[in-house]
Amino acid sequence: MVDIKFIIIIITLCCCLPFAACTSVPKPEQKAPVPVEERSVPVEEKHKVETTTTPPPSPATEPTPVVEVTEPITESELEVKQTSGPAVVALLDDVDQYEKAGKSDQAAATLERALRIEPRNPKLWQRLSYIRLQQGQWQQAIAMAQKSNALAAGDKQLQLTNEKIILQARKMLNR
Amino acid sequence: MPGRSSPKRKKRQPKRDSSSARTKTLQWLQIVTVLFVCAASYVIWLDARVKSEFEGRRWALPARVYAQPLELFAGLALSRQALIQTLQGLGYQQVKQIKGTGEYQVLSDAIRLSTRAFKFWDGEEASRRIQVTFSENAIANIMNVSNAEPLAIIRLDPSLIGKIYPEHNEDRVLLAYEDVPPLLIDALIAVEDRNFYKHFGVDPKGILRATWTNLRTGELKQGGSTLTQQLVKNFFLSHERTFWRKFNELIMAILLERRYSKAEILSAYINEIYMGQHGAQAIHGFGTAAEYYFARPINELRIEQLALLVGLVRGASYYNPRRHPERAIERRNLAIRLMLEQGYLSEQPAEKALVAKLGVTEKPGWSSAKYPAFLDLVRRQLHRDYSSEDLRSEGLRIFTTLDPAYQEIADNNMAKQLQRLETAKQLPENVVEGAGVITNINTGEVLALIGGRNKQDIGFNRALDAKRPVGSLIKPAVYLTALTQAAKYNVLTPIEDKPVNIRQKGGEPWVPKNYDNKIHGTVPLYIALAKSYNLATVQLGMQLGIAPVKKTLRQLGIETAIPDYPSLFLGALELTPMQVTQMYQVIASGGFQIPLKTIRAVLDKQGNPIQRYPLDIKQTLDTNTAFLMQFLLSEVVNQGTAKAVRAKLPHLMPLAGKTGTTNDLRDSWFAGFGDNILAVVWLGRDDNQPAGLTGASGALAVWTEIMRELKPEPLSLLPPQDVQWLEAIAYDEKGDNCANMKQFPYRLPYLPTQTTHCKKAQPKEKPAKEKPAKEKPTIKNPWSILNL
Repeated sequence: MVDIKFIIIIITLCCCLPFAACTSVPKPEQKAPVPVEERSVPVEEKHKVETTTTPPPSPATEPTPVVEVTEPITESELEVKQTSGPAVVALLDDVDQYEKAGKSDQAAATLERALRIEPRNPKLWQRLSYIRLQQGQWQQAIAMAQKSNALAAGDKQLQLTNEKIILQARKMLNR
Repeated sequence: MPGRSSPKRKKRQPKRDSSSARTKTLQWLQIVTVLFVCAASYVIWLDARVKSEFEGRRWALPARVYAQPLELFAGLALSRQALIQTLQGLGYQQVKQIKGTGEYQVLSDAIRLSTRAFKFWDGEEASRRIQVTFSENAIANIMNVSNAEPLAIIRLDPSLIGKIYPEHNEDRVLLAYEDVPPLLIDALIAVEDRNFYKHFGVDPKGILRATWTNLRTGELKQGGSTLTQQLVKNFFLSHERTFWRKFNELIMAILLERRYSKAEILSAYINEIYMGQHGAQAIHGFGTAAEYYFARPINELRIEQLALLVGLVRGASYYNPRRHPERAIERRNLAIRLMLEQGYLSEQPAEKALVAKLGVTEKPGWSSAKYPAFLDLVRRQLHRDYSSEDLRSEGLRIFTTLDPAYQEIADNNMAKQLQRLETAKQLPENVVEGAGVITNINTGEVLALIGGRNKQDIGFNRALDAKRPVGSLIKPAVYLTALTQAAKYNVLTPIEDKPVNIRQKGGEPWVPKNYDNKIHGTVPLYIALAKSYNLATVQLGMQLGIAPVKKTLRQLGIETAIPDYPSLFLGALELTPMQVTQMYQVIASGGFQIPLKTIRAVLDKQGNPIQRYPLDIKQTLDTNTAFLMQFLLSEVVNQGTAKAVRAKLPHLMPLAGKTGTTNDLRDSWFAGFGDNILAVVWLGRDDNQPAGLTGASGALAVWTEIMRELKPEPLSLLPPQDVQWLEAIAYDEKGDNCANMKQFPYRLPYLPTQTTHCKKAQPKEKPAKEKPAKEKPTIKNPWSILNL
């Protein structure tokens, strides 16, 4: 008896298979996704990890900080490459490219890489200070310019540029 | 006569036949319909389960924690051996000829390697074939082998130092179908399911063949399960071996094949199949298994290694290569032979593979226990910004500041020196504990963290949690306070080291003593700190007042409650080694408070940037004052309580630091730095009993040996804008000695105005004709308070 039942079930199920296919609602778009991507189940809001690409807000919380350059800081003033080794020069090329592309966070990160190699280079600190100034991070701009000054004993030109940066940052802070 | 009954019978029979036949048919139809409906619903239900499991599946992936990547550039002080060690730590294989990524070749004075591509926060580092040439323990140059051009700088992929696991201990190294090595797919098909591309989920031919082989050989060598069936088993069903489970498996395998393509099924299989166990954690998927068994990405595995992994699907525990290497090799070689038989491998590579070693790493390819103290710090900092849920399930990639080479040096020397000290000072074994923090001065990055003498101990993280009295480590705060009053104090200001008796409200008077119980009289300020005279420090502190010293401590980044008692001047303040490091960071950096940083950036599981932790500095001390303090601390090492450093590491001088010892030798501290690295070491007993070690005899010894290997840059005593060096008579206990001149830093505009001439000391064996003594201008009574 068991054998007959078994056979019946198998046969019946085999007959059911085409029906099974019909009963499911075909959704051609909904393929089984490649495992590395998110599944069709939406991520709950509280599990979502925020993506931030904008720099953290400055203390003055200005939406688009406009740095009024009363005393312009020229590119030649910020020129670092003459004083650096080839590794840092290569990184500075990347910094230039990032800045041109408007990616100031990446530019700053690359400058930090350079600083790990030449931490006593006052021009690197100055360059970072200038990026912070442009990003509206006034406190950091001031601190980095001060750090640059601390390392720049005897270099009047460098100190002058640092003072310009500090002046502008202070002006923005006092608004 | 037959005539009478037969018509009746004849009449009735057809009637009975027809009705019973109809009834039977009806009954039959009823049964069939019911069965049909039941079966159909069952199948529909199974189908829905298949769909929801397959598509609704969302792996909770652990966060992966990386050390800082090694950056290679010409001029980097890195020996060839050190680079080899780093490469081995990253799972790079030494080869005679480089064919793929993750391989290196050792030449006489150079290393050729093919780096792995890696996506960093600030961009992607491409895979490159380079040659690194060494000269005198430093990199001389780097060449891009592909175009024979010099390469200025290149970043290696960072070392994985740990993971932060979801509660159910899942982990996956997910592989996209395109990233699966074709040979792996070939191997799976050859070994597990020859007809994979042809069957519909179940392979009757395969079952027959397997049964035949098993009967023939008398062993259960082959199973008839298809890859699809195995996937179903892994995905949905428990491990019972019942008829019903097998039955469901068949149905679901067929349903799976109807819904999804072969590629999709294969892809899911490769990422889902059970491959082993690591304690409470299950290893699923070939990507994860490659990391677990070989510490390499799957695309770098060789033929025999892929074959081993494929062999494991049949029984990961039974064929565990670490526990049962002989079984593993046999199984692996069976797999290789099957691949050869079916034409997926040619003779030569197959033969080479058959005789190759297993190649599995001794320990699992990652080890969250590798640097538990540092990982603990990382977790704490992450918890400020991320929920536990996100950390454990989103597959975040966390890039830290750890330097694994530094960490190893720190851990090894702590253990070694403690053992040596125990023997030398006859201390009980394994009782004195230690902690340490090593940071980059200019960036505030934590390079290494010592939580205890046993680096594997995940218990008490002393670097972060052991609050101990700091003793003499506090003295720089007192002297800094003095130096900020530049008009009143300079490095040569005389301080009186004389007895102190301070009445305290409703208590015994406080009568501190010097460590050597002596009274040293009037000494210049720099000597009082260099020799760590308690009485002189308290005298100075009383002149300044407690409030200004507290203010200085706040400028040094101390945020905890500070007691209002004069005993503060001698360090009656409890701090953790981490807090002490934060404090000395300000002095070492020249007056800039830089919050100690452990994480550089966080990326999501696809490698897209989420958050960066940028360099963040704040000036809290005047640069010139900070410089004077650096000078004072260099004198501690030059001739003060830490002069053993000068004797042991003369080639690294000048270095600066401060020793600290508390009452009854319960705590032994040393905080010291060069130009780029700061290290703080603490030794003591967890039960707070006397440890029998002073700062100089204990913590300093550990610090010295660590720095001997780390080789910090010497302190650059280049004065800032408003500091000038002037020569004066150095302190001598016996009295003024003009032969003993020294450079001292002075804060502008507070320069000494009075000078005096110094007669040069008469040499012992002097000829009869005496030449007039050479006159050298000097400062009269150098340690008197200056007139402006």
